[in-house]
Amino acid sequence: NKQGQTRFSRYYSGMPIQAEERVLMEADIARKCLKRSDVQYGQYKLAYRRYASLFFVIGFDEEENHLSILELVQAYVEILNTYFDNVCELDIMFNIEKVHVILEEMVSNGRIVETNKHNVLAPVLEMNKASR
Amino acid sequence: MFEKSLTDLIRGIRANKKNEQKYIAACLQEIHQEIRSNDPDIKAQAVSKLTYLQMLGYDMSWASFHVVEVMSSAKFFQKLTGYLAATQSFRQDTDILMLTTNLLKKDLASGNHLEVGIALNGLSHIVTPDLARDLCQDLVSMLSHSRPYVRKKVVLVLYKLFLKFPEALRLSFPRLKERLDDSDPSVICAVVNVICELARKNPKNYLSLAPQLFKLLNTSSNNWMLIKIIKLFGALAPLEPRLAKKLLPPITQQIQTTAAMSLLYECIHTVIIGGILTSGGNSDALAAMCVNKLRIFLEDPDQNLKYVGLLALSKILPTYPKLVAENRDIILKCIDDHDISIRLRALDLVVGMVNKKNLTDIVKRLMSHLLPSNNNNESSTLPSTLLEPAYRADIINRIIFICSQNSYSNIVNFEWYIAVLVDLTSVAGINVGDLLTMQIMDVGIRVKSVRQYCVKAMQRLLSDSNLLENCKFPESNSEPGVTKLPHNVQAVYIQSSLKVYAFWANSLTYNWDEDSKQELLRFTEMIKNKISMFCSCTDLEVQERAYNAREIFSIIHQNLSMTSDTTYGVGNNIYASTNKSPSIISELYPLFFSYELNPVAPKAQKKVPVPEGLDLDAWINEPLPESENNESEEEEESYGHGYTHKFGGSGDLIFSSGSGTAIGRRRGRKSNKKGYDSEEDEETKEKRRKERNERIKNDPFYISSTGKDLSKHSKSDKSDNLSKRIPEEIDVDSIPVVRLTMDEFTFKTDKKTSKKSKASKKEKRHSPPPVPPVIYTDIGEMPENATLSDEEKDTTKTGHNKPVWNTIPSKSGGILDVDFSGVSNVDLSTPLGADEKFPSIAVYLAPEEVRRREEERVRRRVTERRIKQTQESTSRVKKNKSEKPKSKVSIEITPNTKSAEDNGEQSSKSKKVPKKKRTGETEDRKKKGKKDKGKKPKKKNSISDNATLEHNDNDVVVDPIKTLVDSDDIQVLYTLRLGSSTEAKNEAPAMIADFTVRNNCSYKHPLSKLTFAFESTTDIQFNKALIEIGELQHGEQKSVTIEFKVLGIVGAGLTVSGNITYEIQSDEETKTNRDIPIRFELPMAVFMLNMPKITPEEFKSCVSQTGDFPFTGSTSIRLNASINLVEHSFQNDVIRLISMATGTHIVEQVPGAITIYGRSVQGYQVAGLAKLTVEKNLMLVETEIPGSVQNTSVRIELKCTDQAFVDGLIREIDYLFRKDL
Repeated sequence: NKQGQTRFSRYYSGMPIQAEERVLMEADIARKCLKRSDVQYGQYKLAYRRYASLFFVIGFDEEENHLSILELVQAYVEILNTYFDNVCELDIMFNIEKVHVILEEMVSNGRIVETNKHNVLAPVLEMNKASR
Repeated sequence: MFEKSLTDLIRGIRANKKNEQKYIAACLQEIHQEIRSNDPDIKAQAVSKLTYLQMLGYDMSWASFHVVEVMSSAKFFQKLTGYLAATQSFRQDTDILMLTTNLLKKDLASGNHLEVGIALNGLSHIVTPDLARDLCQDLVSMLSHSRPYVRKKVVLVLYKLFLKFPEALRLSFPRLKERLDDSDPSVICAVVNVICELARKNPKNYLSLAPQLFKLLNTSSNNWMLIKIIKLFGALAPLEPRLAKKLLPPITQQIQTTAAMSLLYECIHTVIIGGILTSGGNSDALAAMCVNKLRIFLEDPDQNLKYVGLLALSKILPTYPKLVAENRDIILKCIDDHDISIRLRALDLVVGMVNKKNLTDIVKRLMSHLLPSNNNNESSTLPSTLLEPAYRADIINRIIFICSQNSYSNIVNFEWYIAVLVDLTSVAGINVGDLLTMQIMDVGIRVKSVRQYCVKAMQRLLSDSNLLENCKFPESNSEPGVTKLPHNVQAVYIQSSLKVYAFWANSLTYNWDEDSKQELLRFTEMIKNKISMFCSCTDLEVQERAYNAREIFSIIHQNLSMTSDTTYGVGNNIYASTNKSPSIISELYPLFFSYELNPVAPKAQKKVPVPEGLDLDAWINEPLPESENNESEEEEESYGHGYTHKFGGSGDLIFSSGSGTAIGRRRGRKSNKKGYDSEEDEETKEKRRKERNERIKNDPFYISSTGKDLSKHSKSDKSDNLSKRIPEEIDVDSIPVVRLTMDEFTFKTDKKTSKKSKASKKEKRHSPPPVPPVIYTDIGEMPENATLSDEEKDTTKTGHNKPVWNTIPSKSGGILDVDFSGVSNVDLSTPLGADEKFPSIAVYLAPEEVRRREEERVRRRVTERRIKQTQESTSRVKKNKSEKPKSKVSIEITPNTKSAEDNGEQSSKSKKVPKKKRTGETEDRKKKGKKDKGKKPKKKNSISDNATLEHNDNDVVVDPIKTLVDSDDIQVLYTLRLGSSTEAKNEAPAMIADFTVRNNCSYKHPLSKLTFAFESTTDIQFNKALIEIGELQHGEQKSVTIEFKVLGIVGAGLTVSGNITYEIQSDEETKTNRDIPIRFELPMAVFMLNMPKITPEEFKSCVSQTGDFPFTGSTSIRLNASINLVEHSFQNDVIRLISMATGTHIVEQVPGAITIYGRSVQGYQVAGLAKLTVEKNLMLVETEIPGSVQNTSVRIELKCTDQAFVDGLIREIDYLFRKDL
């Protein structure tokens, strides 16, 4: 979010071993986004979009298509919006599992699986039913 | 009931903003309690809270076990929580992961597709090589799951699997390929994704998919997928030139029609990097179209589009600079963009775009970024990043780079450039001083016409109090502050002040009168006093120079005051007539200025060829403690040092005096000079030289005698003393140092641009091609006869260095740990060997294999190996029991005849039919059964034959003949031996395999078109991979020999694989083609050399140098206690087998133990000890053989000089004993 706190994070190919290290890294990335200074972090490029007070940041490697990543962020936010009916920071905070699940449906293993809104949400809704 | 839920936790954290840490610590305490609870709900809740805290940066690895518990919960929600926690917290080294195998298997097989889904997701995060191996079979079969939801996930998980377990790729790729035709678009999308990723690592494997992908490209409307496909083609296109042409129309189509910017960008990007531009026919048009589209990107207000547009442009720049240049206006606009990343990208472009015309303009723009203070109202609007030192340093570097590239070919006006450089010095807060110094000096040296301006600028700089707070420069030089400067600066400083003084004094002589004389006197006095403060300097160099300088000044002073005295004494009439400066002044001048100082290439000294008859080691003069020549050489050296120091690593120039033509020049100047006593010609010089030599001979303490010499006021002596300091003044020709000429230079001033360059170009071999006016493009002076070979050597050296550069991992500092090496090495172009099977299949068929693998794994992990191993073996026994029935039921049959053979009796029950035959008639099998029975005794015989053979001559193993194929048509036996030409150590060992083929055909038909085909792999290379034998009559036997090289690491599991194909007449008319895959392992023992026995003493001394054997391996072999005479069997069979397996010979044999030694082709030495131990451990009582209390085993320890080799040996021993005992 705007304060540089991490509300939600997911890693697809390993992550810094130490928890503290990871927190530092996240803070660093957030700072970069807030300052609009650099779109590079180590070997990764960062693509981010800002929605109100929230930043959605994705790190990816050189080969990936920047624009498609940005569109992915857009699609993701749209889906969250549909699911939560006008999503806000609190929604994400308090429904972190749902957020995870939705992302899981869209991105598996670091690759985009599904971008169709309906296809993403259908299993999530099913899961909700199943959990009850 | 009173536990906090996750929501409560989050609320709590928000409510306790002030002491968050404390609150969370308390919560963690609670979680510790809750997680141990027996209530699964509470446990799950605790885990979910923990997951949240983990995100905030708290460790949760301690809870791994509980996470697994939650994962295995039956409730869907809890399972979800568990998997989520696992994906967030588990790592490759989490031990608990081993426990999840079965859980995952179960979940993957679940009827609920959601459960399968989360299991798959979880797996994609936590997969380890072990998990990958164990589960890949399940996953591949799930590729044809009924639900697309599952299929697409499986496809993606498989990618991760391939990374961890590369063998799986080969095995499952055909199945994966099928999914490209899936009915569900998202499954196709997933497959394309995976293939795209894989193709990035090793594109050539996937060329065969091009047609399918091409079809998708034309039909699909899913932009995400199109992007991936186009990207994939981008990787494939360079490999297949025809592809580029084929791709051109659809891609052009996409570029023209698509509305999605990302797709458009991907198309353009692929066009640029995929080499489509270079191969297509109308590539210019396409390029123009791309650039036009990119312009739209740049004009877009969206920063992201701008950014990628610039990125793409910079990629197209090297091939189509003109097209890019057309968009200069807009690119330059981007330099002023407020977003720094856009600026940087634009800068990249600009650097590539610079030419003579626009250089000034561009630099001006860049400068405006550095000096915002010039424009006060502007600075307020600039973002803070502009003031970041790193950014400013970057800009300065770029300015200098664009100006200096191609030897300043873009610069027209060097005064301007110097001005720019000087301006740059006032940019605050960045450390670019060295770079600027270098540039200024470089330009000053190379470009003559600008020197004057340069000096002026420097003077201004020096007097700039901001820049050098304490240092104010001469004319009135020698401020006390100078002593605070570094020593090397001081040294230069003294020298320069002397020089400046000389120049100034000389200029006075043109207008010599009493005033100037008085001034000179006064000034000399002053500078003499000032310079003496350096005399106490701690640095020797400074001190010496200071003393020298002071003495010179004092001489001049004395001389001056003397002449002034006399003139005054005699009267004004003399004064009028002697309107002539004292000669000492005019003499001082040529000391410093008679020779031109030219840049000398750093390698020049090295390249001076040693003149004939010159012995560098011999004394030049008789062994004086400090000969003149030595001194001067030293001095020269130190000059060089000083400068090279200055120039840093890339400093190409050191100074040295020019001789040769320079001397001529000096002469010319001399004669022109007014008031110069021209009597000093060669004769007097010669005379003086002699005199000096005389004196030196007489005076061993030459240096300390300086003072004495000085007291003599003979003019020639004085000048001698002075000249001594300046190396070039002493008899130049006697110093065999640098013979430098001017003719290698091409310098011309702006105005007199005589086109001399062409002629001179040919002369200089070292200069870069373009020769702009005004510039020394030479890297520096080179001695005339410097050989080119030196340079060649250099270039080869740099060429050699390059790969080293490239190997510097670009992802150093990366945070992720993915290793792609495995996957990129997988070769999909070769057909699947029939022996390549999912390991889980092998589980059912070859228990030996599993057992071996498991043991290997255990061996790696467990330190207390023996205990563990016995446990393992007991469990193994159970496993075997449970698996045996399965193996009977299993339909899959291993075609691996070798392993079947290895399994001995056990596998004779399983059918060993090559894959193809499995589909054949069933009667085959019946026959086979009989045949196997028949074969058994025969094999035993052969072994025992070998055994007796071994036993008799207890030396090095004779390679036993092994059976490769034994079907009802054909029997192939083979032996392996070392090739002859393999003694050279650095050569890959060559092996020779002798095959004996025999037509066994039951119908007595001949076999025709019999061919052996082998696959060369990265490890094994065949000289001739195809051998045709032709026809083979029934019962006929033929021998073939094939040679191959082993390139890979000699270790466990080197296998040779290939096919035998032949035609056989199955009926009267029809011929059928048979294709039998063959495969055999290369046992370690084959690599062992047949060497003479060594004595136990030699062995001892050899092994005692333990440093020679850094790698060890060990194993123990359980001896079946049912063999009664254990002792006896050890002595006979076991020893023989060990020796055979390792190819070593027995050094010493005592009851119950042996030592062995051997050496391999590669020069690996192997030393080993085998010991018979009889344990009476109740814990380890054999369950298998009731009644035996003793547990006997042979423990073998091997030491070797290579790890892989010793591992392989150990494995083979294990293998052999399991087979035989």
